[in-house]
Amino acid sequence: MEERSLFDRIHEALDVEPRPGAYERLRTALASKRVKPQRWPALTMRWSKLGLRLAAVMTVVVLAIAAAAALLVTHRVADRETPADSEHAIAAYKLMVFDDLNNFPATRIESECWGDKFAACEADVNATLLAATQFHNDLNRFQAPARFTVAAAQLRRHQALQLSRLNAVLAASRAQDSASMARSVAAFVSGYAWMMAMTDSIMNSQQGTVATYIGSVRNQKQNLDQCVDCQDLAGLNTISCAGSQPTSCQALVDRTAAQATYFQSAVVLIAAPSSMATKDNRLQLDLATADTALVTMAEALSAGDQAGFNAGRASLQASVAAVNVDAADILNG
Amino acid sequence: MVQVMFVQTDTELILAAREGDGSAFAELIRPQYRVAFRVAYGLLHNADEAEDAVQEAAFKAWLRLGNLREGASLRPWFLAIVANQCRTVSRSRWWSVVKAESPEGEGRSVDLAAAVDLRRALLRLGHDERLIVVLRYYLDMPFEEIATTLGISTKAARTRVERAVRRLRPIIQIQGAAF
Repeated sequence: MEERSLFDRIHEALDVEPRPGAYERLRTALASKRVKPQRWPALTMRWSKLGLRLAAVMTVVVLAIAAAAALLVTHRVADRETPADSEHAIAAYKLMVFDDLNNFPATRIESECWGDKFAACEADVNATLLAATQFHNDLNRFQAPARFTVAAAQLRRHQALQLSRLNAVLAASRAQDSASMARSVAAFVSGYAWMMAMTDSIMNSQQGTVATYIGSVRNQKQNLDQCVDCQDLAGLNTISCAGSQPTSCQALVDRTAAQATYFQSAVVLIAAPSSMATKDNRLQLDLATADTALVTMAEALSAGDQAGFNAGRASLQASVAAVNVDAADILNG
Repeated sequence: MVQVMFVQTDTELILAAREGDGSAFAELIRPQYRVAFRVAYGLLHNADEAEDAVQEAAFKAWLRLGNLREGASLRPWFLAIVANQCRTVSRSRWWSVVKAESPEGEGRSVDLAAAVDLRRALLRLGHDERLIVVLRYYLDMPFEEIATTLGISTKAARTRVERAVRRLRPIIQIQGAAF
């Protein structure tokens, strides 16, 4: 029954046909190329799996060293020549985030780290750890411009968590503990969403006007109000996550976290004009508190800790109420 | 007027494509285009990127046509190249927020919300898990063909499908409760 249900829902969710003329465009593109395909199976160098992994790790090391050198130069220039919130400092911070993210290997941890694939898992985690540690160090070393102060603090918290999750995957892999490895991998993968949204907003951040900033806040506030799960979780009704409930609770937390993430990243993407900086700072701080509360709740859920979940929820309730006040203050001038 | 149609066999098309005839290669993959697009769309959730990925994969497949073993089926070989191309696209954008397109039929808000939730859940899977879900539940592939496409055993294909479904189960259950 579940199998049938999955067929139906995936078809409903993804039922898209190629656009008209798509194949003809491909045909035209192929016909216009003059290439000479390999006639026979190519004489290719055969790499063993271990060899490939070693090569990948070596490449990552070389790239990390190059990036570190480039960043060092960037930092020196930024430290020496620019005040904390100049255009140059903002650009340098964006560049640091961009460069560090580019150094991450295309992670396949969720593909490699399961079952008894301990050796493959360890190689992947080590490669990712290298880039993640570099990013973590740069986040700590680099002075964030005022526009990104709150976001940068949250970024450091999230990145520290991702590092500890990676280390937990590594420890579980070394202990050949499949169940623990699966839990840590799930936590690591769930940490992607926030990191992706926030780093994307930082890299594309632009100075907003009063109108564009207020429009962005209004949009996100409406989305938050319309998010039934968010209202449930931030409301006063009793939610038990004991027994068979954890999956439902996890989904509530996930959806609320997604909404909070969109709100946080939106006010970074379209930065408040200076006339609204104080109000924006309050809003960002309260959103950050909500975000931290949601992380606490997610961790409590995975540990089966109802008291921890309740504590996180109390913090979420207070911070969402504060976000509502902050947003009203911004929207009502 | 009598029209004479020359229908080339796959073998003839392969030979022509190996000689550098792009039209012949396009003809060869024509029956696979729709399914390739659906694999790419299932992995990338963006029609433009899916079309581009299939086109790029087609060029790569054409260049590697010599690697296609005599008598081997074209479809799993081509789909594997498409899937790899999608992995490359995902890698290049891994830090960016994936702005998934809305599915058709936006009038049905409950269905739409469920579809969006499911697509988000799919995007949270890793590339390999998402691929196996797409092959099994979107293309309705039997385990044997999934195994051929991924170069794994049928048993491993079954195991991987079960594992991916386990990851999706919470979201499916919650949607089930909403209906």
